[in-house]
Amino acid sequence: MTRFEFYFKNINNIGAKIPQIEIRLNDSTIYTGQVKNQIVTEAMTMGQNKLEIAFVNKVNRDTIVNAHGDIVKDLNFELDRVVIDHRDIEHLIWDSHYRHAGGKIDGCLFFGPLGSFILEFETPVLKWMLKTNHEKNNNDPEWEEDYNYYTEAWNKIHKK
Amino acid sequence: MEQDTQKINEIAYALMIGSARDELDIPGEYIWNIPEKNNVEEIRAKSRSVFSSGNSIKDKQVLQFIQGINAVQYLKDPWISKKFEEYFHEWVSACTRFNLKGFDQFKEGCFAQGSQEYFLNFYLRNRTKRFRIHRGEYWWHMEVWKNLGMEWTYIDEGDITSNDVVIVSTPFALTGKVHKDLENTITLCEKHNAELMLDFIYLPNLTSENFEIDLNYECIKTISFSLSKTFPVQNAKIAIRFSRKKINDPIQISNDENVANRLSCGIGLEVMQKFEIDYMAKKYYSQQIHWCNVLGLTPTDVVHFANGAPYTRFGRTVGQEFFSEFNNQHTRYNLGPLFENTNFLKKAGYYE
Repeated sequence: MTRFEFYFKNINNIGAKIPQIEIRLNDSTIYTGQVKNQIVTEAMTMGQNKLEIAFVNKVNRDTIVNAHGDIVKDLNFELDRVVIDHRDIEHLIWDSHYRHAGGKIDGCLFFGPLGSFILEFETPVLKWMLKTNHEKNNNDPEWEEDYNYYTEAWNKIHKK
Repeated sequence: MEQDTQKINEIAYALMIGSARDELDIPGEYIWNIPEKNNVEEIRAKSRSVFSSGNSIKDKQVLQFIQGINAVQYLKDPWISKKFEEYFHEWVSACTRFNLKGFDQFKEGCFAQGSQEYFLNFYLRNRTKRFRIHRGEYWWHMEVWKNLGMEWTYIDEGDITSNDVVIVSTPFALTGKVHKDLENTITLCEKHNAELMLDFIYLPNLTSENFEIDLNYECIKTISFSLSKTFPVQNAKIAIRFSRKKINDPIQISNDENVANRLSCGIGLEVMQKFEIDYMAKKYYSQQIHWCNVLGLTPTDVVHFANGAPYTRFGRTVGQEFFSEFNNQHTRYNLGPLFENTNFLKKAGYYE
């Protein structure tokens, strides 16, 4: 099982109404409920994975505007961090998109309109992070060798 | 035997993972070698310098002994630096492993706070001269000279002249053996009246039993020793310079003023009284051979060093040298972390 930790911030209610989400991994629901500052859950991963955090209870009247059309209250929140298998995926969180009725926004961690944050990742997540970082920056040619040394040493120490 | 770079890397990682999880038999002593967080980025970065230090083996028995020293008592002992200086000469002379011809003439001992203090005094005293050094020597010299705007060149870049002063570590810092050009260097220094400082910082850990050097050359004005490569007291900064005549430079003036670091003198004296100079060489020679066989490295004449190809591109790539652009000691492996962590490495299956 893979451990997932989700950290949210700036959670804005409308009266007693709290944002609700559904977290899905590879189209299977792994969490349903209110957004909290921290949500921890576990799920089975595959090599290639699709993580989806869907904002499920927003309706038009959850956005309150004044006479000038400025938003004065809104049901919304932000995703702050994602930790997979005890590893903060850090800036790779931005390699995601937010899909909503009006289209798709790349690298959006703000849950404003009804929609879903979608991130594709691979496990083992460390290997994916090293590989992706090297693909982006072309500055870590030994990432795979080092990953293998690290995991081999780790497994020997922990007799896996 | 072919070098097992895979195993060297794995062990480097294992030691850093063990350090981050506080599982080592004997933890490291420097923050550049201790991952503070148990995260792969730091473990990875620090695994690259696991074998790079020149420092002593952190022998458990010596560590325990040091922990038991009441160093503070020496603050009240005005004679402690003198006792240290006198005993150091006897301690070196008592060893049959090496024959330092003419060492008896070098009776002027001068306590120094680590090798860096005696080097700095050498620089100051010779500040109008050009410094000469062999490639692979302790990078700190070049780093200091560069930053202070002092004149220096490698010995292979031109003949030694009367305007030069020379430093050679013996055994040589890079190879753990006597530098192949030492004899010629001494001859040239003697011929041109260029002062030569022989730094014996690694001599106590010499494994060969018939080391011989003639100190009777006039050009050899000073010889030096430090305990930082011999015993795990590197952060106490305990060293000494010997000369034929008293040299009135800052360290000597401070010592004459009786303001030497008495804590270090006391620790140094007690450690020398307890352990022979070749304690590490005797105790760890078989371990040196064992690990060289396991990893396919070449043993040097210094018990905690081996030579081999670099196991990581870091250190050997321009711009990625450890600490200094002048540090090209990446072919030298400090085996100390292996000797010190036998139980940990056995558990992980790395100690066959």
